[in-house]
Amino acid sequence: MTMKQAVCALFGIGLLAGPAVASEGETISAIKQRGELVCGTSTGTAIGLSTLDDTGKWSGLEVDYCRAVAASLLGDAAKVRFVPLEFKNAFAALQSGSVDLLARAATWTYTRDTELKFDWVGVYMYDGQGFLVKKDLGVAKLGELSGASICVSAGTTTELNLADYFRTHSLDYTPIVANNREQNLANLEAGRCDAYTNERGGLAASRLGLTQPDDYVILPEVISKEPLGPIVRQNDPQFRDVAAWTLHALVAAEEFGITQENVTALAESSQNPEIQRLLGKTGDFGAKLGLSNDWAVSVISAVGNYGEIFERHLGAGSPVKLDRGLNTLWTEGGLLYAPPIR
Amino acid sequence: MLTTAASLKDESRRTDGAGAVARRQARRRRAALLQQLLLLGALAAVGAVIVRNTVVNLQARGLASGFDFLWQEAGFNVGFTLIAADATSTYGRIFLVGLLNSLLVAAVAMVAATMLGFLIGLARVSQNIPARLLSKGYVELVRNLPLLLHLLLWQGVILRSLPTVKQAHELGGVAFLSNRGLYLAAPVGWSTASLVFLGGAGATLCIGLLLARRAHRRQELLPPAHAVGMILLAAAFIVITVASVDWDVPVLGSFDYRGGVKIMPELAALVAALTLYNAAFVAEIVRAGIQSVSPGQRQAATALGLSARLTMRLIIVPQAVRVMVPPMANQYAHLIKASALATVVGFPDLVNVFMGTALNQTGRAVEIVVMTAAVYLTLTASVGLVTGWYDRRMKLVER
Amino acid sequence: MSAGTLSGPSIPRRLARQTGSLLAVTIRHPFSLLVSLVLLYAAWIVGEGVVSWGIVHATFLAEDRSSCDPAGACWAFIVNRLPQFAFGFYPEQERWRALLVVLAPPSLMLLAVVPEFRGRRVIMVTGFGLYPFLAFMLLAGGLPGLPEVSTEKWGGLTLTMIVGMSAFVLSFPLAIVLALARTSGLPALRLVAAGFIEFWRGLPLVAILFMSVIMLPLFLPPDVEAPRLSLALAGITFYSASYLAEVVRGGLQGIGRGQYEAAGALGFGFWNMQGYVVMPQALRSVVPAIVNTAIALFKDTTYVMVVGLFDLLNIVVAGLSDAHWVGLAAEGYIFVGVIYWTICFGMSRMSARFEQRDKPNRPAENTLGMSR
Repeated sequence: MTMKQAVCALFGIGLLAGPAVASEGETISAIKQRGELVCGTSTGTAIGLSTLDDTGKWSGLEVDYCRAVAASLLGDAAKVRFVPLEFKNAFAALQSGSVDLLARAATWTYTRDTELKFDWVGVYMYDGQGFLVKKDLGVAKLGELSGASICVSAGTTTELNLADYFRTHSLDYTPIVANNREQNLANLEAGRCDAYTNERGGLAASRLGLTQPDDYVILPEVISKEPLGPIVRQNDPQFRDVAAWTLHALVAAEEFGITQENVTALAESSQNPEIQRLLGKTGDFGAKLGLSNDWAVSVISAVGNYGEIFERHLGAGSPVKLDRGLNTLWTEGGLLYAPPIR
Repeated sequence: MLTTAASLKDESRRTDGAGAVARRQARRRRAALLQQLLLLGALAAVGAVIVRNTVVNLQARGLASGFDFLWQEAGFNVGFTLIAADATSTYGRIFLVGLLNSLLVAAVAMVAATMLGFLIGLARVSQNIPARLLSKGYVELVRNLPLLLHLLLWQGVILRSLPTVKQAHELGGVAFLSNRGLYLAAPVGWSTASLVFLGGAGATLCIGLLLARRAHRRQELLPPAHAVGMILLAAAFIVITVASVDWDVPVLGSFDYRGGVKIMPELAALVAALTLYNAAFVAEIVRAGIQSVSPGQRQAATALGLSARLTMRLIIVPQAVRVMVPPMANQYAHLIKASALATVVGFPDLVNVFMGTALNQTGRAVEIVVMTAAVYLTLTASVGLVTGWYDRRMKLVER
Repeated sequence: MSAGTLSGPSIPRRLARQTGSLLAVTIRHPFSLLVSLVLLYAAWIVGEGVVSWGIVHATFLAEDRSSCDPAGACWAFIVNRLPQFAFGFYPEQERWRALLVVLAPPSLMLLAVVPEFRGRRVIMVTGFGLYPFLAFMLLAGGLPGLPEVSTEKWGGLTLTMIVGMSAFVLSFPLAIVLALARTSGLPALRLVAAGFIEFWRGLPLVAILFMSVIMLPLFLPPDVEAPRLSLALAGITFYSASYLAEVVRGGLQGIGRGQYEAAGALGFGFWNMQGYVVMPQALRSVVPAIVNTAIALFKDTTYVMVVGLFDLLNIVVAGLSDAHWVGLAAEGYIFVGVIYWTICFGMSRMSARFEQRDKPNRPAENTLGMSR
């Protein structure tokens, strides 16, 4: 072989990459082709939302949502790969196509939705930003934190809200910006900062990771609305619909009283026409999404309804013991409201 | 150097007439030209495919592009800035803040690592056996551990072993040390008189340096009396300056010390890790440089009656430095790049604050990645240029 | 400087001479004696503390943090989590595969120190050359008898080993091509190679990893995909290849023109000449620098933490936030440190042996690629 041939061989590889054509439904076809959903999650320490245990198993509300999407799209809740991402890299990963879907406690905001060309397909957690402080600091309300050092995660809305709130209230603060929750908590415990700000749900869960959880308290003020939801890229409307209706199906299932346990029985026996349509007994609602007709059955039998998921990871049955608050059904005064299945 | 494949094949043939040689040379040139054109064409094609992919992908995702975001308000605060910046600053300013922070870390660590490395390197070749063993132990311990481990270690040490801010160590009433950082008194309110005194100190030192340089050029040393006199005079000026300005001494407020200058622990951990790690490599470069000077030089110097210290300073080190320049350049380039590890400890350097936070908020991934890459390529290239220039200068002196 | 040369007089004689010189020096320079005493005392204090904390008062077996002796190290944390630190999340019944992958490189390296035997070189070269491919196949599975294990489950020392070794082995051919191109007679080729090398050498590895793992899909056609591990590996390989290329170029510059002319006169083609005449000499002359690059690369694999891969360091750091074992950062970091130190120091000793064997009685040379 001559040098010339070697050079051609070396650089010729690049040409084989071929023409780049983006088509409608590229995300769905990519997922089906590789046979698994790639879901961006936290670095594995967001207790209740997405955690990674000693054996490499993921669990949490966001994780179960990803499993639900895999179940509806591929019929198997196990066909999902989780990619741990630091928040400041998360949007870049979704934009570039490294992940199909981001379920990473990301707040739905105007700019992110429009400028980053993302779509929030719904909200799986209505939350607000709060502050976790050490009790012996003697701080009872937020206004007393003027001059404090405040721990916050890089690239988040909480970082921006913090700046806004303290500026509009003429309060002074020093941001201690870390990349992840562990570092923030380590900083808080060591006294590197006086308060740690995050979504209140996240704070309640984070407290459990501290050595002395009872020494810390969450301040009463809520300084922002933090609707957390799954995000997809804007360019695949079909995938967006699948992701959205999977979330709706989880909420609707709770409303209709469909649970992980009774879903197969109800699919056979239910006389409620809406349940029949959701579970694929009547109509071709699966086909309208490009899915099998029993997609909702595989979703609910894999992860349960929204209420069960919340209960398992964040509610009274979990160590976090978070009040459902706004995250109850609209029928019970909450904000969860699935559009009609019709 | 190497010639092309075609030319070598040709050369291995026996030579005939002059015409044949000329023809063959022409053919060889044509072949070489063709090969290069092919190569450049292939590269251009690869480049075009990548650009096309990017454009198609950006369009498919409906992403905006352009550098207009640099004039938009960033909306977040940065914990450590060398120039004034707050939540109303633009992304362009955030870029500058990050760049300056990166440069600060690199510059401080570079100077500190060089000085410490020189000391350890000299200890490596010293006559003192414990010093030699300990410095060897240091080098072998430090350079065989990953830099990232050093960094995490220092971060942990600072965070966990220093007291909280309420129990901060007081250092002479003007400095306070806690795990929130080192607070130093800062000079404020410069009067004309104090500026004059400062100028006096600077002028004295400059004159001293000029005299020493002139003496050096004559292969002499500055008379010790003169040197001591100069230094004392400069010191006196500095003392007067210090006394004549107002000092902003940090005072403990309800949460934190206020006033003065604050050095944040993330910065300290980063600088400490970069310094201690790179010092081990600098020490090895210094040792190799000194050992590369032929023993005859030392013997000759001793024979001329120079003391051990003077031999080192006037004979060995100047010759060793020449050997040390190229590896030192590598080390400096490495140090500049390694400063990007700031992102791991949360110090707002360019990679952390611009390629991290700003990228996440704006989504202008391609622009930001290109800008960041351009900065580092420029920095490492300029290290090469500067050391190349220094290298040439040293070589000229040799003649 | 006689210290450091192993091929000098016997050890007792050397010791006696050094003790003698120590005495001589201390008598002549009292200040030096003082420095020695202070240094020795400091070393004693530190050493004593380390032994007391790390061995005498240490706890090796315990269920959680609270059952450890607070006066000493709590090595039980390491002992309990050892399988995870070694193999990451690799399924328990398949761990023998990961163990093979971890043990292969050190055993191949041991071959370099045992006495010469027939075929040693062949075994070592093929072993290292095929390692990336065999290790990937073994770990990924998907063959009969080897169930498939996703790369997301790889972690700990296994991941460190496979990333470090693969990046080094894969960067070698690339580095040789780059070095040849950079010294070639064709200006365009030289320019391209120089550009490639300076580009990858000029960027921080943190940024390279971010680009290759997170941003790369943006530069590729939509239907091309690769696991994160491969993307990270590609980034590290290019980075390492550009450093290695400069080392190889240093070796090439030491080859006299006569060698090329002689090979040409013997009728060697370009690749034969490189393979049989030039490269063997060029590479041999820069073995220490190559090993230095390998050591640097091995340490740099820790950077994959930045893109969320669980290598040895990252998995230990992640384990530190376990509620049962809080506050054991020192033990964790020391464990990681000991492993890295042993491997890196072992490699540098090996390179010193090569150096001694090849050119005895020459002072240590200032080698290219020392940095990092």
